[in-house]
Amino acid sequence: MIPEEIVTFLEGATVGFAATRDAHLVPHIHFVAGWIVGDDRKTITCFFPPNYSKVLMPSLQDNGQFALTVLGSTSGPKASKPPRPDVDFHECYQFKGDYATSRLANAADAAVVERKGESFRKLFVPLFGFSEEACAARFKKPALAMTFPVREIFDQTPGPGAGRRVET
Amino acid sequence: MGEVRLPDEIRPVMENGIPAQVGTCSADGTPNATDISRVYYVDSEHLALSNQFFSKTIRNIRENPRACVNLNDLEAFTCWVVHLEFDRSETDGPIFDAMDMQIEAIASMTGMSNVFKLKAADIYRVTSVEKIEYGPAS
Amino acid sequence: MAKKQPTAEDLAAELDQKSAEIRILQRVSSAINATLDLEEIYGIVLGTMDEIFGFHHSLILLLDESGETLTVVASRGYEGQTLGGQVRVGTGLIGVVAKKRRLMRLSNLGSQRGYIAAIRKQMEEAGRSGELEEAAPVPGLPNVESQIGIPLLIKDNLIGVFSVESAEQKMFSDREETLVAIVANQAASAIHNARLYRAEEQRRQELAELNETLEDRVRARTAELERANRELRDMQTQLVQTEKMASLGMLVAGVAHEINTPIGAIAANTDLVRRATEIVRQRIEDKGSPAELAGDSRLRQAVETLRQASQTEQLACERVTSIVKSLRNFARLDESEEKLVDLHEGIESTLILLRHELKKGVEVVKHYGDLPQVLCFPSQLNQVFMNLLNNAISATGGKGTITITTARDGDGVVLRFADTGGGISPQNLKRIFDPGFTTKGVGVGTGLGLSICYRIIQHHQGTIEVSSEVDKGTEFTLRLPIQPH
Repeated sequence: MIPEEIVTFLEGATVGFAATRDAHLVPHIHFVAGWIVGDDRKTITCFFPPNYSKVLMPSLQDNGQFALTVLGSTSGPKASKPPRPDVDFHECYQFKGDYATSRLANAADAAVVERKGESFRKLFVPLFGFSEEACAARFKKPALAMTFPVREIFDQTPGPGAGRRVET
Repeated sequence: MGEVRLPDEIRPVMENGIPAQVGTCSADGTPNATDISRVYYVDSEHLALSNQFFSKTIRNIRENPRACVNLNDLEAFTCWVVHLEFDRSETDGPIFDAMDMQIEAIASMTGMSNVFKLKAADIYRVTSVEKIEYGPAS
Repeated sequence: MAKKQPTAEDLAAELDQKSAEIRILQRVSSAINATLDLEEIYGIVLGTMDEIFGFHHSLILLLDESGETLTVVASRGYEGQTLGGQVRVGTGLIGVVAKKRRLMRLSNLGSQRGYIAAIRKQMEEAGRSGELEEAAPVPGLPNVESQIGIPLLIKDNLIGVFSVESAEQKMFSDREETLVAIVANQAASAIHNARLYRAEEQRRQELAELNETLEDRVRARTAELERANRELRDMQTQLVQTEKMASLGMLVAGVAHEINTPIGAIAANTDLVRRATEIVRQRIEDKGSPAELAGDSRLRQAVETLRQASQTEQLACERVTSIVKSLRNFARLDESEEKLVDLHEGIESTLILLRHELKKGVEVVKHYGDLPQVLCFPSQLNQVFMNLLNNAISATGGKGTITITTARDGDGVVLRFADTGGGISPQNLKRIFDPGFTTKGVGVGTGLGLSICYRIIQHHQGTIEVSSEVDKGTEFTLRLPIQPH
């Protein structure tokens, strides 16, 4: 089960990307526009933009191996008090599991992605100086939803604890 | 097979300050994704990643030399996908010196000289480059 | 993927841009090399960065003599004081550029600072603050995003660093880096030449000042040498005089010894004659002596003459003995160490030795106070008394009064020797203690007496002063501590 504070972190985090690998052990990186935690806190469903990589599904169907990395938070367990966006942005966890199911994304999924886009915009525009348009282009209406049960969680926040396995 | 070359237009993207994503895979097939602040341009056929901490990424590369790097150019609505293969690790020479200089400068400015020390410059050969233009929002 | 081919317009624009850059660099080079003034050079370099290239924040730092610190000597575009700001070699971009003597370009430093701050925070929370150091302050923009640092080199010798930075998240391009590097290299040569010139000018100025003051310094040195020479002559004189006095003392001792022996014999014989004469006189006057003997008046007279002659002889012997004693006392050869003495004894001995001179018509009036014994070199003080009294006798010309007054004054004693002689004029009074100065004319005396007296009294940690009025007289006042040191 995903710990409560990690669920809270996921709700506030803004940047997600995932790694798969193909039959030849060649790794691939995929942009993840949004995510939700299952009610049982055992699964995560990821949302992919329309131009998601054409190797994503073949890789998942080949071996099912999936690693989701999420970073950036102003409300996670390691958030500074008061918040420091430039520092707290680097809070990071990796969720490993095996592909379970996928489907077309729906309106509810789109609403999640829109909220993520809004959070991303609020953080990236002042922090990195990006334009609103550039930020918005990343969070188009999702095309694909993919669910996987979380097998392991690792703390990837840079620092002495990086790589530590989180108790589930 | 012809050698794959990095286009000139990718160089500014490597230094635009947006963290890049690195994907690796262990010998038993478990993928790993992480972000890094900086990818170094060596020449049109090679990139370098700094080896400062012994991490999962480094462990995977030692088992399976293949890596994937995503470079993001948000303002151009573009993502560059670069596939790499580990070539060699350098602990001296011009590439190591250039990376070491930069790390030393930032570490000394931030009081992290005891923490940030470049162990090696890991040099990767580029195996493929793909430019993905996802276009503006509307 | 296919590279887009540049159009003719693109190439023309590129050429125009490069030509413009070359012209700018030529102008900058000419301007920098036309001056040897450091401030002008700084102004040209920083002005070029700001107004022509659009880089609004730049610094020139020079390496100090220790080779460990760089100091800001010129800056542009910063609020507050940056001049004088320092960076240690090896710290920050500027310090590492100096250490490695290589150009460095960094961009998006803000995100990197955030990343490192996140790590710092994790380390602090994990109790590993001991591995962290304080962030070293460096002059420049606190929110710098992009920066180029270029070492200023003269034949591989580092003289400083040139820094250009921006708070915008733009990145300096390769072309911009090249332009900045070209200007920086020109600046290095110009700064080096200007510093050489400045050092040369400074040396020239120092030499000119040295020449100007040379005469004054030679004069001052000459005066110093003359003073030292005078002091040396004084000491030599004193030494000679001391040796003379020592020789004289030995002579006196020898003479005294020679005189004492026959005087002793004369004194003994005189006593014998006196007693024998007394016996004869008694026998003549005794009853029972022949009447003719008792009535012989010539015999009585002869006996009386013998008695008086022997009495006179005795007195004369006593007087010679007294003179010899005074001589010995004056010389006090047996007492060459510092000793507690009664100063009145010394004055009296001196007066005895000068009796012949005093008899001529000079009256000596003494007002002796209740003086304790004084720790001194008695022979030296006797020399002073001899000198002062001798001078007083000369001043009176054989007629007049010499008054000697002594008294206790706290921890010291005061002795005054006053005469009713002709006095000393004010201009001579100023030089009275100068060695060689004399009012007695050429060949009469050495003029050293009073200068020696001065030295002797100084040696006793005392003072000697003179006051005088022409036609009225002169008074010398000696003050001596009872127990010097």
